[in-house]
Amino acid sequence: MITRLRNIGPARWVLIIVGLLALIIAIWPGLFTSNDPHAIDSNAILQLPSFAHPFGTDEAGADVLSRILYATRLELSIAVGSMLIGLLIGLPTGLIAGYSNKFVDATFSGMAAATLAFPLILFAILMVASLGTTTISLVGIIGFLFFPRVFLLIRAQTKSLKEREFIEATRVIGVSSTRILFRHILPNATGPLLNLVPQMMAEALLVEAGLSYLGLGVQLPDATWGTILQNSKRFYVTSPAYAVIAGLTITAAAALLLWAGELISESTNPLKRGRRL
Amino acid sequence: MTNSNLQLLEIEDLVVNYGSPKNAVDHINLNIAPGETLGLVGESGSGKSSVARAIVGLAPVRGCIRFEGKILSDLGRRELRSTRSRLQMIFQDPYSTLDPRMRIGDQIAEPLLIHGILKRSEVRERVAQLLERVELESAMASRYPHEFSGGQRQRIAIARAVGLEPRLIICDEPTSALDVSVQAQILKLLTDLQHNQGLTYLFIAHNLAVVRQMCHRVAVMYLGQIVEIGPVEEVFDNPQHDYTKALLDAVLEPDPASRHIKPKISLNLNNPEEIMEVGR
Repeated sequence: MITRLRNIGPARWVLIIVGLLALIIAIWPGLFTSNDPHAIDSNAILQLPSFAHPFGTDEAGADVLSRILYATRLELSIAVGSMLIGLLIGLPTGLIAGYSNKFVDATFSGMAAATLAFPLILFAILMVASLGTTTISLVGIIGFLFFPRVFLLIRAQTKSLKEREFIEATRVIGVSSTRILFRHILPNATGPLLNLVPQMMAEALLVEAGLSYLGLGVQLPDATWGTILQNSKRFYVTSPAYAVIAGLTITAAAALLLWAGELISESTNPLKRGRRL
Repeated sequence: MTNSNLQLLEIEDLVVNYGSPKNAVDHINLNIAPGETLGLVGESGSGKSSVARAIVGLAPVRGCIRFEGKILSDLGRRELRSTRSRLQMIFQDPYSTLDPRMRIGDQIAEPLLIHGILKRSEVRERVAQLLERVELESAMASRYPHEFSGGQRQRIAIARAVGLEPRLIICDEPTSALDVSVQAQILKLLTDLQHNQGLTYLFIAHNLAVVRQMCHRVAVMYLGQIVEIGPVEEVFDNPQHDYTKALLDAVLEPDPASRHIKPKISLNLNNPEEIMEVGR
């Protein structure tokens, strides 16, 4: 265990600590700020960052840092939730399509290709406009948009795995197709998902921010980093720091997640293993 | 078919076709008696592996395969499953026949559990016993395949196959991926198991020395057909078919001094059908 911990490079330590920190912020945001995110102070409107307000204040005089910290929980829930829904739809359909006959495969693959053919944000706008702008529908829509990626990955893995000799060997023993799929193919197919998971979470953050910016994201009184960015857009000219801070938060979170995905794919790729980061 | 009840496996007019104009296996007939080892030799692509895969149900089949007197294609799903449990296969490459993400104990236990042979509580003991039967330590059950050498993995595959108490085991080049000393150990293990359990083998190989050592009878395959079949000594010492002669001729003599004395038989490989015609 200790030697394994020692093998974690500094970059991975940074990501692990940031990830844990984000989790703690999401659960107890009050630990990190004494300011109330909803406190209105007409004497402190759109202030620049200061000691009392490290990220400045918004148009109602509320502390931007505490607003961002308190929004983390919902932000993280949306990212994790939509990622899970993507897995929930993509995993079983990918397994079935990869293992089944041409007709079943073509049906599922067609659905995935059709979904993939739409630009993500455009499709999300369309769906949100027709399904309404609740947080649940937002998570569901983003999750659904993720399903083709999980699907294609798992389908390709299943297709190559089912030709492998050890799967044929289990078939000779008399193992049923269902058991082959879930006991033998699934555990061997999920490796590449590891780097798709943080990627999907990062993209969920960006799509959510994009939708919120257009007023199609979560609605008041809930707040996410996207809605904070949307609020800030009216004050670009007079107080750019407000918008920049909101935008940087989203960018940084997405970049860290993508970086995590990159590191995971490096450690699971035997060709790159050994290169410590 | 007067002695039909004496045969463990009977193959009549078997055709395997993967969708190309040529049959991979082209109308062959084959019988295996209980307790015997039948060798199946031939060059790569001659259809030996297709015969094996057809018997265990991994290849599309036309013709009739009778096991224990029952025609496999006539059996219902249930009966087929229980019949197939007495008909097992050991694959060529031990590095790819084990699930890399499953403990080997679980892999040996899997057939026992799904065929309902043992209760969950009895499985542990049985797996330990099987591991010992193939000369591995019972404590190894909790390890993963990558922790084993090629020879050990082939032993694990054998343990998994014999766990179901099969009557026939098809060995598809079980030692060709192993180095010579390990090969000998695996072959000895297979022979011992045959003596102790009364197993019958269909032994596919391209190493003729191995076939000579292991088999009672041998069938020579060429272009999807069996060109010659008979007792090992007879076929090897007095081959009738040109292809068999060429195959035996291609084997290097262990003693360099005796090499190149015989005139080489060359086949016109551009016209393989011709060999089939004039060879008889």
